Amino acid sequence: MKYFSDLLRTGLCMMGALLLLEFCMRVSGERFQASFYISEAERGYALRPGAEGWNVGEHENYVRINSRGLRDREHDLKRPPNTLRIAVIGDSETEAVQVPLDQTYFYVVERELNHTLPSGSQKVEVISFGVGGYGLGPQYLTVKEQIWKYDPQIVIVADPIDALIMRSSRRLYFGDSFGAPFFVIHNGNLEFDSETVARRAAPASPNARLVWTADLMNQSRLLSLVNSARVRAENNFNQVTAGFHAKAEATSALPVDYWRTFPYYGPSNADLKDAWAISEALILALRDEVSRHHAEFWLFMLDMPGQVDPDPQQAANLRKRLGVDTLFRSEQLLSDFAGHAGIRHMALAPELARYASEQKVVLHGFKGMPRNIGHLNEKGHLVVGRLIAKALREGSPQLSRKSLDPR
Amino acid sequence: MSFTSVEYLFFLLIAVALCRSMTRRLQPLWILLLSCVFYALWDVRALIPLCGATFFAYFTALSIETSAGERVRRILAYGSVISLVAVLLLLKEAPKSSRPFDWLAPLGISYYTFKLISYVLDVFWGKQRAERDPIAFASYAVFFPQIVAGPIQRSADYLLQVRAPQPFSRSLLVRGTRRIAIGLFKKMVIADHIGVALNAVYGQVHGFSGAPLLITFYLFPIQLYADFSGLTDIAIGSALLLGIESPENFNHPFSATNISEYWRRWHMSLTNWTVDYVLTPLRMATRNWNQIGLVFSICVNMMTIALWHGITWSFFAFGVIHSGFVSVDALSTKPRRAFFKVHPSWRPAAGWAGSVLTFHLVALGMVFWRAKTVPDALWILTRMRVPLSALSSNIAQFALSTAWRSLAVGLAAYALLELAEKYWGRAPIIQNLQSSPRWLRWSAYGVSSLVLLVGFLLMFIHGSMREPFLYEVF
Repeated sequence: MKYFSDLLRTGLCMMGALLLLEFCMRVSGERFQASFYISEAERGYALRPGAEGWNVGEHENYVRINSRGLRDREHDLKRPPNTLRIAVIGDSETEAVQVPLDQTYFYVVERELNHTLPSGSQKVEVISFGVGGYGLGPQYLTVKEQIWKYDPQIVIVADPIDALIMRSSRRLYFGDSFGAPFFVIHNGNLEFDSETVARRAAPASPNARLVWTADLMNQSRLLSLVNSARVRAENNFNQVTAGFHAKAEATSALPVDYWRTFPYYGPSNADLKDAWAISEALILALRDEVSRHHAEFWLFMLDMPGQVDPDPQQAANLRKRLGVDTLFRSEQLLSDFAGHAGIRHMALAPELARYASEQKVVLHGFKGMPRNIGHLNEKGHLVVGRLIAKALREGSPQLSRKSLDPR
Repeated sequence: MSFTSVEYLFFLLIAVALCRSMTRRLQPLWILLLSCVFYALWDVRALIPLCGATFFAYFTALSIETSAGERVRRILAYGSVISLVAVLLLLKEAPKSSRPFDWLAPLGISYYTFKLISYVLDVFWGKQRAERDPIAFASYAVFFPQIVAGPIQRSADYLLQVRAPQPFSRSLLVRGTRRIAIGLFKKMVIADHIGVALNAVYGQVHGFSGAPLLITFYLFPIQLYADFSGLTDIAIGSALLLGIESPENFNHPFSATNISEYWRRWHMSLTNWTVDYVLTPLRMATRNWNQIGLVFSICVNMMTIALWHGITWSFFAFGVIHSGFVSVDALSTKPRRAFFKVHPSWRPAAGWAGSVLTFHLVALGMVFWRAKTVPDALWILTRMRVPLSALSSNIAQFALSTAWRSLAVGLAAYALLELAEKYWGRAPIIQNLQSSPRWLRWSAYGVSSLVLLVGFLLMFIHGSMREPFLYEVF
């Protein structure tokens, strides 16, 4: 009996110590990466509805995922009257967990359009479906399965060129794709690759207990610390063991920094040709899917940091290192393709490069990080948002209508 | 491999396990091998000057001992000291102008050179016999816990211990681990947090005036103390786990009541070294010059300490300032004693005022220590005035504009450290833990383990983002 009484007292002391440590970590401002994702049968993973916590990677920012799993404010499923809805599909640049929600480019687009459209005309509402790490494959599935319940009239796909091309190919995908689906072209048709087919045959279903644990973890600094350490240890372990070998084997014929250099080259080798073919097929599939729902489709090619360095010498150095005349070749090729396919499109990188060079501003990266490396910063989001808004204002038939399509 | 990295903790764990599982005879060999690995992980090329200097000192000392003529012994001793100092200066200063040879300014060169010089001079003066065992001697020069930033241990002390290291025991484990944990706390919680705000100022001195400079003036001594004593604690704790007791480097320096006492409490292993090998010989040689000889010896001694950090104008100014402070203190010792003999009631107040004055003198010197250039230091000293009415608002404004939370955490942790150092040994639970009730013992062990675990996880997560130790560069 004495033994159990001692155990109980010790347990209470330990609980007190844990609470004190939690308190100290909160007071001292210690923050760790929260978990925002959940595994999903269709797209491998998605944002977890209701998840909230700190993003600490590049830039500390408190992030809330809305109740429907979007990194956005709450939106009713039913489109409000006299409202034009724009769905934005994209990767981490659109997820934009590095910046506050009201400074993301899709908020800027909404603000700019509502500000500049004639008074009394329709109201514009932009909904973001961005998820970090998504290539065109999962984005296509997002368009197919997720967006139509919101009844958007304009659908935008906005990705940098590396995401548009490289993430379409399992072989060229850099890092862990966390079960995201990949497509191949088989007999001229777009199909899931064999690994995706196998994965979809036995999908990992979201576990309610795991969701609860992840939510609890995001709310406790101590648990977040343990989780962050676990993730880092797993990454380290994977790098030196099986994951590393598997990846090394899979990418054995690829240059070490292929993911930095390939996006600039266009379809210049067999791997890239394959990735380009899949990307083009997916873009056409997106166009068809959107037009099937009588909506307007736009393709915006965002920029990569190397393309928009404000220092012209840095850009020249990069061109020299890559052995290319222009850093925008892939954008030109994809623009040509989109033009032939009748897709409204815009390559933002040349405009952004000009802006960065003239204004001497760095559009990527945050304080405490190496210069011009990483995601779009607040300034980058602002400029991208303004450019997209301008393009839509000048080229969108939906926006030029005085009254709303009652569709 | 930094002392605050998880990799170092694993390295230390392996080193302790290997060394402790070997026979005593093999221990110096293992320490030598592990130290070489540790050093090579920083830059394998840097082993060349280290090995060269070590073998040079080893053979010189043997030659000094076996030489019959005093003149030859003298030439060998002073020749080797001059050579070691010349190599130190060359390797520390030359790479500044030739970037491809950055690696030639090896990690801890100032520390191991001073260790080797003291060894050669001790053999020359007959204070110790020349070491015959090259492995034990080499392990002294390259001993990994001390090579980054000391403490500068004397060879006699080390060599005696490395042949008969303290047996591994629970108390040794607790002492070593606690010392490392305290060192990590000082570095990662106090120094790095205070450093966030201070680095912002020192990174762009001319962009600030008033309160930020005043805060920097007062807080940098605390940051440097936490940083350097933290590094020393980790070194001492690591050496202890290997069975080697290292000399202490700090003894509550900010409680010193005069500047000479401060130097007896700050970076003690370096100060003791310069006292033994610079000040005392010089004082003996100039004893006929009376007060002038004393001031001359003090000035050379303080300039040695200052320029040991690096040959720059700011360290030169640091040396000049402290030469002045210590000289005035030494010359006024007798009159002060006489005064307090007549007015003993003034002594407590003078002690208190002395501590405050000493801290300000130390802080003044440290402005030159930390600033990149003398003009930067002068900018800080001439522009840190703030009208008293605006002081609190200016400080609040600065704190909010930088990382106020970091600053608050660092200062709170420093206060906690001071309280713990004062009361830790006196706490009844610590004194009587073994005779305490079982649940209390379990709780104490459990909570300690929990704190260590959380500390370890924080290190693991923040390892890549840590600030380097301020004294690592010497």
